[in-house]
Amino acid sequence: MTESRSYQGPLEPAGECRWRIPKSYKRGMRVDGIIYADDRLIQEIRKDNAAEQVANVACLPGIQRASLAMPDIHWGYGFPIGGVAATDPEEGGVVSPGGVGYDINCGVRLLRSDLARDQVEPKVKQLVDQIFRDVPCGVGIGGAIKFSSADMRRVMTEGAGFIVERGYGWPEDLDHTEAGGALDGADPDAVSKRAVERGNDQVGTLGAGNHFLEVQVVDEIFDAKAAEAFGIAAGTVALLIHSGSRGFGHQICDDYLKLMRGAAAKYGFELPDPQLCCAPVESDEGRRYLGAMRAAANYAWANRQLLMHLVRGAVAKVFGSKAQDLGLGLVYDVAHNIAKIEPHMVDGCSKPLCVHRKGATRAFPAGHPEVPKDYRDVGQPVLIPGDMGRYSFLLVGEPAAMEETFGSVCHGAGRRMSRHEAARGVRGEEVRDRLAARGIVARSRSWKGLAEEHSDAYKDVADVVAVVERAGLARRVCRMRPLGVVKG
Amino acid sequence: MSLGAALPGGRSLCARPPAGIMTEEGAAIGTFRTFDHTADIGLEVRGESLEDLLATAARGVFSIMMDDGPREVAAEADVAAAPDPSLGDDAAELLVCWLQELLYRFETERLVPLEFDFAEAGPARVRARVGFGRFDPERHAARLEVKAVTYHELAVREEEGGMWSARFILDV
Repeated sequence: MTESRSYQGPLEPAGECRWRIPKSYKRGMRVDGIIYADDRLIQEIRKDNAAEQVANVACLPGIQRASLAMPDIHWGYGFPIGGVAATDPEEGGVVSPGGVGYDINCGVRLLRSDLARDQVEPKVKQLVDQIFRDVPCGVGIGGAIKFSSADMRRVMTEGAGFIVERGYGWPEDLDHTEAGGALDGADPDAVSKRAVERGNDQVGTLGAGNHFLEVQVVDEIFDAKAAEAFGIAAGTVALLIHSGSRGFGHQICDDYLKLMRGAAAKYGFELPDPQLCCAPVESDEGRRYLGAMRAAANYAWANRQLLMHLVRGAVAKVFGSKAQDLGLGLVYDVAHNIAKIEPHMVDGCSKPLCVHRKGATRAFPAGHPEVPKDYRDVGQPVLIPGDMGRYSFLLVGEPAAMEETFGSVCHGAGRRMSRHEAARGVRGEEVRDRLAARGIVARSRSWKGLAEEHSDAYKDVADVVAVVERAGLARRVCRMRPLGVVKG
Repeated sequence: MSLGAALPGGRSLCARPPAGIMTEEGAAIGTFRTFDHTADIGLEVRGESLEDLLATAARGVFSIMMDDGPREVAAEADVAAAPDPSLGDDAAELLVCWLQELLYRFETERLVPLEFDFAEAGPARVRARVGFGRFDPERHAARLEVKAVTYHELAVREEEGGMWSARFILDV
């Protein structure tokens, strides 16, 4: 891909699948950078200068422990994608919109089912067609519901809970959603009118680009005890939904990037990259951004809750049974673009830190109080989607993640080809046909968009997950292969 | 009507090139070129005036979004954009504000800008009467959702002879 510079700085081996950028590398670094990768992936990582961004993030005021990067890291705006950074508000630590990204709370949710592969395979095309009909997806496609101003305020503050209250879900769905489907401290008054206008008819819409819905089969179990706790059985069908906060979140990010651009000078920060614009968490700008970001995060959980409701409905129609009777329970929902205030150990004391995860997923281990009660003996489910032709993984968090990465791991595969490269000489219809030859039914609103998303455009997520497991941050529970894909 | 022709009142009307044109040739009047940028897409735009640059940049952004978009004007509306004064009189900020305003119109009203009649273009604001096509998902085909115009490597320059150039990257 064509980011113009490759990384020329130091990458010192620092343990199993760990590489250090020493803080002596660059003036202004307050902590080391640590990249999780194996020998092969680190060579890929060198190519797009994302490692330089890891070093830049290490310059942020109040950053704790290290500037961290997951094995799917690639270049982003300011922060790399696949980056994790935690700051201490009590030490003047900052919050940065670039450390979350435009698609606030882009994330993934996984549904299980009692349907076996051989029940679903004869009807996959019918199911994919039904989902494509029922779930609004693609550019310029609005949702079935346009929310009033009053309802939008409730979406912003109650997230998935408001959607369940309206009848679009089951109460137990919230137990299996990160943060119970809503962060406290959302501030609708910190959200611009423009963001509300963009978002009021997009709840329950998939979007486009790399967002997708997949019908999958659980084809390999690695951890039987965890799989059983999560309600996952080999040979059963699962459904994966990948979407975020839509235009609502994009606008909030835009609004606060503008606000924060003046903040660095105001607070006397010297930043190596202006796109790391930030403000102290304990500042007017910081509080307002977090209030608006939480509103966007809650909107995204509302979005995925409604999308799930629509998917349940589609499955129920095709199989002629109620969603409950098909066992279409929510396994878990995770965010992978977010900033949260979480307690973490610093020098032996628990402190509230502002943890930025940009293209990184929370991965709490067994025993953590935020892990749902019915999973607490096992740990938090971690959903890692791959590209549409290969597989996705369900992992579970391990204690080393809490010790090293503020309870964080990777989020997906990461692109290895630009859109132009991917689409060169390949038509979307050919991609569809190649998938069909492998038993995968694909529907997309844009064939050109599909061509840009084919498997070769992405790294192999198995390589990314292998590193995370070798590093002890999380372990695999099962692998899921696609049977059907819906893209916008 | 040729590009940049003056109308009574000092305004100029930018004629509309064929929809969906993308060229990778060297710089020419009112042209745009896309380039790869990791997972996103960049645009290099040239215009014979700031107005031409703004119009061409808009066409470039929407050409990336559309596989087959509307080609006939269905509605006209006044569009105004002005960056926050605290950010200074900066053509780059003006360009971002202008494009963001048009993306907002698309997202909320499904309007695709096709023709531009500028009343004012810089330094502190842009005002134009824009002829929009209406995007109909049943008849048209879109390709990419543009999340935002980013500030990465954003550059707008006035060059010798009054030409303008811009480079920016879209988060898609």
